[in-house]
Formats: sequence, C-alpha cells, structure tokens
Amino acid sequence: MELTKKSQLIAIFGFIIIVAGFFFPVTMGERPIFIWEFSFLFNANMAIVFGVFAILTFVFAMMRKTNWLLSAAICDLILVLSFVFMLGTWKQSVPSKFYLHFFRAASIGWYLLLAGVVLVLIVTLRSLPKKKVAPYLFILPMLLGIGFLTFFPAIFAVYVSFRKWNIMVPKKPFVGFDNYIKAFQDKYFWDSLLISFKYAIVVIPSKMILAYFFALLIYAIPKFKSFFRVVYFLPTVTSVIAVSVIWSWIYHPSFGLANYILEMFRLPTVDWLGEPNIAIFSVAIVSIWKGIGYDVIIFLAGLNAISESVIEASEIDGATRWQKLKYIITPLMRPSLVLIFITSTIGAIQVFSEIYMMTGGNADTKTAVFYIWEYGFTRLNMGYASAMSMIFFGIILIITLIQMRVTKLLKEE
Amino acid sequence: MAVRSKKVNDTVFYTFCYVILIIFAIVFLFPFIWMILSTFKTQSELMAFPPRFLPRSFSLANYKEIFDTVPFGKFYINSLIVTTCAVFLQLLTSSMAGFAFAKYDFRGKNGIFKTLVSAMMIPFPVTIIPLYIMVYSLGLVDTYAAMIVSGCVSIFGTFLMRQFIMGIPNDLLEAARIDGCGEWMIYTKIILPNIKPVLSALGIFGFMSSWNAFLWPLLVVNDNRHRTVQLGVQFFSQQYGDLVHLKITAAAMAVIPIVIIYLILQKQFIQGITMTGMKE
Repeated sequence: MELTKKSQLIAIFGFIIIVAGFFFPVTMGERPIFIWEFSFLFNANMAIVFGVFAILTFVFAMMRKTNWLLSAAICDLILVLSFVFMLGTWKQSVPSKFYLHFFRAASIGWYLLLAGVVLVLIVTLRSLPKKKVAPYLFILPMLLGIGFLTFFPAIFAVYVSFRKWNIMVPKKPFVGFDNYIKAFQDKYFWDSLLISFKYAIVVIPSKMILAYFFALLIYAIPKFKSFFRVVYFLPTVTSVIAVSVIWSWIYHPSFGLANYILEMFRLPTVDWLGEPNIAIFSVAIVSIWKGIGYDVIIFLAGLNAISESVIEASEIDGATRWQKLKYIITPLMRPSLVLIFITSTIGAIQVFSEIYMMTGGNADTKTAVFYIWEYGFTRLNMGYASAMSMIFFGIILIITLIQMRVTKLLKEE
Repeated sequence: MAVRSKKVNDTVFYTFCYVILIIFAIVFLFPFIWMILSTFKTQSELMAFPPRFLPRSFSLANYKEIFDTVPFGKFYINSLIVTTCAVFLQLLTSSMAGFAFAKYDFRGKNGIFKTLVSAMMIPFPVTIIPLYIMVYSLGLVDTYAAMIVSGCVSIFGTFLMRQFIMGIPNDLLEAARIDGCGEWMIYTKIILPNIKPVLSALGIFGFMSSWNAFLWPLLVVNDNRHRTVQLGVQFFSQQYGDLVHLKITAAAMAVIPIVIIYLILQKQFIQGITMTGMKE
C-alpha cells in the first residue's frame, strides 16, 4: 500500500505541527512546563522518546509505507495520551481535581502534539482500504469501554490484592501472599461464603420450580395469558431498593403484615429480619418473589417455541397431560432450563443490595459480597478485599464450569 | 360420552389453573398495593395493630413532605440524565461492535471475540474495588460521568446485536456499496433501520438496569446534586429511618414511574426480555 502524493504532503505537514509542539509549553500554570521535563516509562526523557517516534513518522511518510506509518501514528497517539497520566510533573503547576479541568490545564504545546498526531492518523486511515479499517473503528468504542470497565480493573485487582492498600494512605506496600493467607484463615470470610451458598441453595431451585410451574399454567390456559404474564413480571421491573423498603415494612416485628397474618391463624409471631436462623430465608423469599417473573417470561418463550405439531401428534396418540409434560415438553425445554439455572446461580451467589437494605448484614446474613464490600469500603482495606474477591471469583468459576459440564452431560444423554 | 368427560376434565383443569394463577397474582400485586395505600397513611395510622387496609383519607401530605425535606425532583432529573446517556451510548457501542463482528472479516476477530466471552465471566465484585480506585483517582467521584460509564457498554448487548445483524442479507450491503455508500453510511442507512426491534429490546433492558442501578451509584455519589432516585430512597431510609410513612412514600416514588412506563409499554418489555433471554 502506498500513500498518494497529497496524503504524503498532509502527513508531513502533521509532522511539522508535532515538531512545533516541542517548542511550546505543555502546560502553563504558575510556570510553563515543556515536553523535556516529562518522563516516560523507566525515566526516559519524554522529548527523546517522542522525538524518535516523530522522526519515524516522518521517515515512513517519506517512504510512503502506509502500514508502517499507521503503526507509528498509533504509537504517537499513545504517547500524547500518556501525558495525561504523568500526574507528578503536572502537579507542579496544576492544583487538585486535575482530570476534571484537564483541557483547561493543558496548554498549546500539548494541543499542537495532539493535532499533529491526529492529522497524520486520519490521513493514514483514509488512504487504507475502507473495508479494512472500518471494523476496527466500529469495535473501538466498545473495546475502550470494556477495557476501562472490565479488563483493566481485573488485572488491577490482582495487583491490588498483593498489597496493603488503603485509598487514603499514599503508601501501598507489597505484602506478597499475606492477604490470601489471611483470607484462607479468616473464619468470618468462610462463614460469609457459607451464607451465600445457603441463600443460593434456597433461592435457585425454588425460583426455578415455581417459575416453571407458573409458566406451564400460563401456557395451558386459553385466556388472559398476557394479563398474568404482565402481573408476574411486575416485581422484576421495580428496583431492589424500593422492594426492600416495602418488604421490610411487611416483615416489621410489631406492625408488619406478615406477623398480622400469622396472628390471624393464632401462630406465634416471628422477628423476620432479626432472627439469625430466619433472616436469610426472609430475604430469600423477597428475592424469589422479585426474580420469578424473569424466569417465567423466558420459560414461556421456550414453551411457545415448541411446535404445535409435536404436541398435537402426542394428543392423537392419547398422551395424558402429565405424560405430555414429562416426555415431550420438559425435554424440549432443557435449553431454557439450563440457561436460567446457570445465570441464576451466578446472580444468587452475588447477592448484595437486598441484604444491604433489609438487614444491613446483621442476623447472620453477611454474605460474601457484603463482607468483601465491608472490608473494601468501610474498613478501607482494599488489598485484603481484593484478595477475597479473587478467591470468590475462583469459586464462582469452578461452580460455573461444573454446571456447564453437568448440563452438557445431561444434553448428550 | 368420552367427549363429554374430556370436556368436564378440561373444565376442572382450567379452573385449577386459574385459581392458582389468581392466588399468586395477588401475591405478586399485593405488596405494591400495600405500598401505595401506605403512602396515604400518617405515621400513627401505620403504627396501628392490627393494620388497617384502607387509609383514613387519601391525602398527599407524605408526598409533599418528601419534596420539602429532600430535593426529590432533582433526583428524578439525575436518574433521567444518567439513564438516557447510558442507554444511548450502550445502544451505539453495541450496535457498532455487533455490526463489525457480524459483517466484517478482520485480523484478530476471533481472538477479540473469545476474550470478550471470557470477560463476561468476571463478576462485578472483582472489578468494583479497582474500578472505584480508578474513578477516585481520576477525580470522577460525584459526577454523572462515573455513573454513566458503568452502563455505557455491554458485552451481552454486543453479542445480541451480532446475532441479529447476521440475519441481514449481505446482498443488501453489497448493493449499497455499489451505489457508493461508505461503511458508516451502511451502518446508519441500512443496519440501524433493520435492527429496530433489537434496539428497543436492548434499550428497555438497559433502561431497567440503569434506572434501578444501586451498588455502583451508592459508591461513587455522596452529594444531593448527583443522587439518583434509588440513592434518594436509600438516603431517606438511612437518615429518617423512624419516619416510616416517608420511607415508604419515597420507595413508592421510585417505583411509580417505571411501573407506569412498564404498563404502557408492556408488550415491548416482554418482547425485549424474551429476545434478550434467547441468546443461545
């Protein structure tokens, strides 16, 4: 691929702008700071690093090698953006809340570098075949977002977990495996994991069985199908927070509706959210009540996808309702059941908001995520919290892999 | 005779179905009805035992008191800003990336795709601490940006879009290319109009999760200027925990808008959820 004459001229013009950027201050502040006062990785002088890449850009532009020019331009762009993270140098002239005011803090030197690099980059991209460049540009925003939200934090979590990390204390010493060893010896952490499992083991089967039952009923009836669908899905639409408030009130030990109903049947009243043996199950009931609608909808979609002719054929053969359910419908529903089983396991083990709002972690309801949260954000021991979250992740991963294996085996059967 | 007994059998069966479904419909609806009725009660009415079903009068005093104590209107606006931006960005990024994965061959496509699948396995508790550290050191605590960013991309949404866009015939794209359409034009003029159903499905899904988001906003927002409705409810139950009537009213105010939208757009909601659930 070769650059056209015109593109080459524009690229060289971009190079000139970059060079001009070297002679203007990157930031003004109390005193102007120039590019050679910044240092890149391993204390390399930024002016030299950038200079090398700028010259490469120029050379490739002269050689009209489009692909090479593209790589050089991308490197230039990374360099320009890396200025943003060299806080140490900027701090000399720019006060706090730096990132909010970055564009005001940056000065003509930085803008010239940016403009030059962007110009070269655009020219190069334009001279490449569009069909080749377009897909990368289309996935770029999504990749940047996922990189920021998932990839980088996941790697960063590993880094943090090997340190004693308090967000308020500038020193974050390396402690090796100490956090992990501490977590393995922490009785309360394992207790919290057990509570998470207890909760998940109650919620998942009861939610799935009930949802499947309701879905079958709605599927069977001739009229008002959509009415029931809408009603059963209603709790799912609403927020955990609001639902927790109203259910806490229903569960209230002295004025709550739940105890009133018990009293009507002359049963002893219960401290629903205060009794350690009961509280986690009270929360589980709310989660089942709230989450069931989603499963019903998914199951109904699966049921409606079963072809009429299969059902009719079985009816002609004289199958009873029970036989139809057992031998025809349920085997065909296996994909939906598996999907819901795996997703609700992952969701249930990570329960947090309901616990936070309804019991505040009291009465034996401190689940693993709540415990991690408490260490990370209340006690500000983020290194230890990260180590626990890594262990927690490992456990979820193992469970999911086992589930996938088992369900796959069932499928092959 | 056999026909008649089958009919009787059917009637019994349907009655059984309806009875069970109606009983549980009440179970699902009652807490909401109870909540709405409670918003009209005074504190002393709520603290009565046995509880009374209907309030003594339907006065809006509780609602008024909420607006007097906290800037709840501002919370609504904040929720609206965050939700709109997050949903818009999510639809844009997901549909663009889904288009690239569905209709182009490029180097690294499979690798990127597999990495994304594995990224889906990483649970939120793992990333939340480092993400908070990042947002904190970027100075984004107490900004809309911090809340919007967590909802602006979706791997799941990307896969959903890819699935759907793969169904659009390639001839359509080629014809447009011959007519001189650029790649961006193809995206806006051909892809987008053809994926409206899935856009609305993902939009509804995103709207629900963004409007109801709690954990992340709770971390990154501490001031009234940026609190969302959900945080408002939480703030209320923490600050004024004893004022049960206000607490419940605040909760009702968080629920009412989304329930109204749901009842108006119920068909789209259910279709959307069905579509997002049929990923395999």
